[in-house]
Amino acid sequence: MRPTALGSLLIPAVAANQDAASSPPRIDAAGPDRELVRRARGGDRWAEEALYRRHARAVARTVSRLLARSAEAEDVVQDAFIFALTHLDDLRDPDLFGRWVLQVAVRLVHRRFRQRSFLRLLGLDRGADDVTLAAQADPRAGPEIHARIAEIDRALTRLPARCRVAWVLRYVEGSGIDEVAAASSCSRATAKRLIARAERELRACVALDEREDSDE
Amino acid sequence: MSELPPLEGPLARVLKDPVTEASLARVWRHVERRRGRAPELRVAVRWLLAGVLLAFSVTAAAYGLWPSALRPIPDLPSPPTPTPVPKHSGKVVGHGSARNEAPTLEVQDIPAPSSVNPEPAAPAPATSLPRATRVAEPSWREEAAQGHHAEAYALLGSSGLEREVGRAASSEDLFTLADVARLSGHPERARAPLARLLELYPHDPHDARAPLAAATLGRIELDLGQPNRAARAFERALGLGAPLALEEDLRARLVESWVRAGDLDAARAAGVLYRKRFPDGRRKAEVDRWLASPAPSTSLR
Repeated sequence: MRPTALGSLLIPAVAANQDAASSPPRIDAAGPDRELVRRARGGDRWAEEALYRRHARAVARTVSRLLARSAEAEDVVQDAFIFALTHLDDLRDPDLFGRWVLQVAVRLVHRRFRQRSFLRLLGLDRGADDVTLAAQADPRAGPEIHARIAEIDRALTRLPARCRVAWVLRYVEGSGIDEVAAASSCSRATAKRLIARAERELRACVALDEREDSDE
Repeated sequence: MSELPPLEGPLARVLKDPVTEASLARVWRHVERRRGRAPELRVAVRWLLAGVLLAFSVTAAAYGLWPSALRPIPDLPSPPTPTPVPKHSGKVVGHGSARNEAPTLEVQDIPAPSSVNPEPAAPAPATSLPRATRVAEPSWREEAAQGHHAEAYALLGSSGLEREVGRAASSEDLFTLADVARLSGHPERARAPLARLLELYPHDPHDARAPLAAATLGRIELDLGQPNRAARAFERALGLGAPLALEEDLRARLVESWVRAGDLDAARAAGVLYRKRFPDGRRKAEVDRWLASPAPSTSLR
């Protein structure tokens, strides 16, 4: 996939290696997850907690950034781990517990997006985004970067859910294409297409915002 | 496009982590609670259905609504039933010799018996219907095996747990008893089976439950506000050879226990061992924070 302007602005190092299938996984998959999963399957609550402790932060961070609402994010993380821990027998490769639980969480995020759309249609969506990217921006990052993040934030809300999820995983979380594909339950090619489409639309949104600002 | 400067690397590098330890702990508490509640709900629904069925049965019995096929067979012999005697009986005799004569019919009376002395019916043979087999009560082991720890605890009763600890024939039984007490909301009663397990099966080569029992005991003591005991239990777990998957957590909890117990020298020593063993450990930041402040503010449980 050819890096586009916005992608290269944001993440030149990752964009240059987009085609590299072997980008390092965000969650260490070679650790002793297998042992913990084996014990958890046997009903060992301690192992379950160890699995949660190991992967919850990464999952919660990703879900928060995707949903931008802390309360909803907590619910999704809760549901994802309950599902994962109750269906451990369905996990084919115990070493990939982290990736699997993230995939479950992303599916639940999509469900939340659908619920939001429906509620919005009925005029009942009263939730406010409290964990936007702009709200998370490091105060030491400088005003220019803050402005850029705020622009991206605004543009992200206009993207279709699948594109938004793929783009956030890729450029905000720094996930590899394989990870994006796994989390989004799609092929590598589809993941690339989603990211490319998200980027096109983000560029269009950012350009439109800038034009509007200059007109004013 | 904008003249704004590019951002280096993933956007996450210029973002704060939106997740706090407190929120992770809160989520885990909910996960545990919801996973524990599911069987209770199932049991409640089961009891509700049983109650409805019982009420229906009682009402049906009271109003005689049972269908005949379902009516209970009485145990007593049925009362003698008199043979039905016709009030009037007779026979029809045909007459008519000539071809053109219509046949006449005459009814000849046969005197009915003046009285009926029915012989008492033989007593009904003893019913050979199969007796309902008594449904075996579920044992606490079965309930525990299905993850219904609250039900298992209820079945054990008030003194049953100690009795079973004395009877337990294997480390598995003791561990199950500890799980029943711990996961049904009685962590203080899980101490006895775990201590017994450590006493009886500390070095069973075929059974690696001893370190896990010590670790669980430590965790319970920490939750119950006994950091000194917790620290000793964690040290024992490490001494018994805890699996690698749990070692990091145990070492971190050991630091936490010593800090909470106020023994900062022991905490520092444990912290040094943690850093040496896990230089890039996942709980390094927490360990550093605990060692920096005498009273740790956050703990997962």
